[in-house]
Amino acid sequence: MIAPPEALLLEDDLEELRELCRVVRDAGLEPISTSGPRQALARLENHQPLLAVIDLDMTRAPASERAVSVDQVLGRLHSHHLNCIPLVYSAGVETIDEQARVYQSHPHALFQSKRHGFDRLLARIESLLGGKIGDLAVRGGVVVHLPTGSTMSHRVAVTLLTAKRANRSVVLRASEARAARRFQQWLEGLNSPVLVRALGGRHYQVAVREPAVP
Amino acid sequence: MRGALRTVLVLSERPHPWAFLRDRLDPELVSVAWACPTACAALLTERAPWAIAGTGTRAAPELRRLQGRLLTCRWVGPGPDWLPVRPLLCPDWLAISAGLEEALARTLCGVRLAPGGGLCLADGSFVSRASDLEALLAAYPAGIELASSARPAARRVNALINRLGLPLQVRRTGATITLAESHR
Repeated sequence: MIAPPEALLLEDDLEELRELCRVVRDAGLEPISTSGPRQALARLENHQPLLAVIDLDMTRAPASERAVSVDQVLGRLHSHHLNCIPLVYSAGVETIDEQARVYQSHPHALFQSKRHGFDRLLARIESLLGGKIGDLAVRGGVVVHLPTGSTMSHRVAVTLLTAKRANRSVVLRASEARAARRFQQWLEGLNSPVLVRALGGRHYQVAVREPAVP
Repeated sequence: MRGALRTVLVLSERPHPWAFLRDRLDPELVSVAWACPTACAALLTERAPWAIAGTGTRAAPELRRLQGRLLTCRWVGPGPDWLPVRPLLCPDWLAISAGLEEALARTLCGVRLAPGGGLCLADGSFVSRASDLEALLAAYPAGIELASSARPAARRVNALINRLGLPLQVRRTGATITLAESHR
C-alpha cells in the first residue's frame, strides 16, 4: 500500500478548508489541512507535499498563528520543497503589484483569485492534477497509462507529471532519480511516447517524444 | 536562477513588464523571472538566464557574473553600458515580446528549442546542457556581441557542435559570435 501524494492547504476560513480537503481528496491526494501559517510551517517539517493551496489573508487565524507570515510559508516552500507547486488562492492576487509581492517569496507561484469562486479553483486544481500528458494521466493519485490501464503509483512519477502540467522541472535526489529511471523503463515497456528527460543539475522533466523532422 | 528551465530575466523597477511577458510567452518553452536591477543576485545563483529584457539605466552590478556567457539581451530605451552583451534596442515591450516569441520558435537545420530547456535535433533526439547554443539560436542570424572576449565562448560552442555532430558552425568576428549553417 503506497500513501497518496499530499497537498498542503492553508486556509483560515474553516468552511473553505473543509471544501478544499474534499477537493484534493477527490483528486486522489491526501490533504494536510492547516488554518494558520505557524501550523503550515510546522507541518512542512515532516511532509513533502506535491501541491500547496495557500490563502494570503490570515485575518481569521488566531494571533498565535500569525506570529509566522504567509510569506515565510511561501519562502519555505521555495527553499525546501522545490517540487511542490504553490497555488496562491486569495482575494489579494488580482493586481500585478500584489502578484509581484508574492513572487518575491516564491517565483514559481501560480495565482487563482478568490473573486472567481471556488468552482474555478477546483477546475484549476483538477487541470493540474487530472490533465493528460501524451497517453498518461494522473487519476486518483497514481499515474495511469490510458491505453492499457496500467498504473504507476510511485510518488516521483506523480510529481513529474504534475510538475509538467505546471511547466516546471523536478529536482530529484539520487534515490528518487532511480525511481525516475524505473518510471522511464515502465514507459518504454508500454511503448509510451512520454519520456523522462534529465535536464542537468538533478533536474528532470517529462516530455512527449517528438517526431523526427523529415 | 533556481530551476533548470529556460528563463527570461526581466530587469525593471516595477514588475509590470514581467507580467506582460509572462502572459505572452509560451510557458512550455520559457519561464519569466523578474528582479529590480539592484537586487537580481538571488536570481543568478544557479543558472544563467537564456535572455535578459529590461528598461532603465539603473545599474545591475550583479550582472558582472554573466560576463562571457552567451545570452540575448533586449532593452527598451537607451541601452546601458554595463550589460554583459550588447542589447538589441526595442521601442517598447510589445517589440520585445514579439522578438522573444520569434526567437523561441526559431529552427535552424532542424535544431530548435526543446520545451523547458535543451534542444530538439532534426532526428527528434534531445540534448540537455546546451545553453550557449540555445542563446545563439535565439540570436540567429545577427549573433551575440559580448562585452568581453568572445574567444572562450566560441571555443565552447564549437566543441559542443562537434561533439553532437550538428550541421552548424560558429563564426566569430571581434566580440560577436554568430551561428550559421554548415555545408560540410
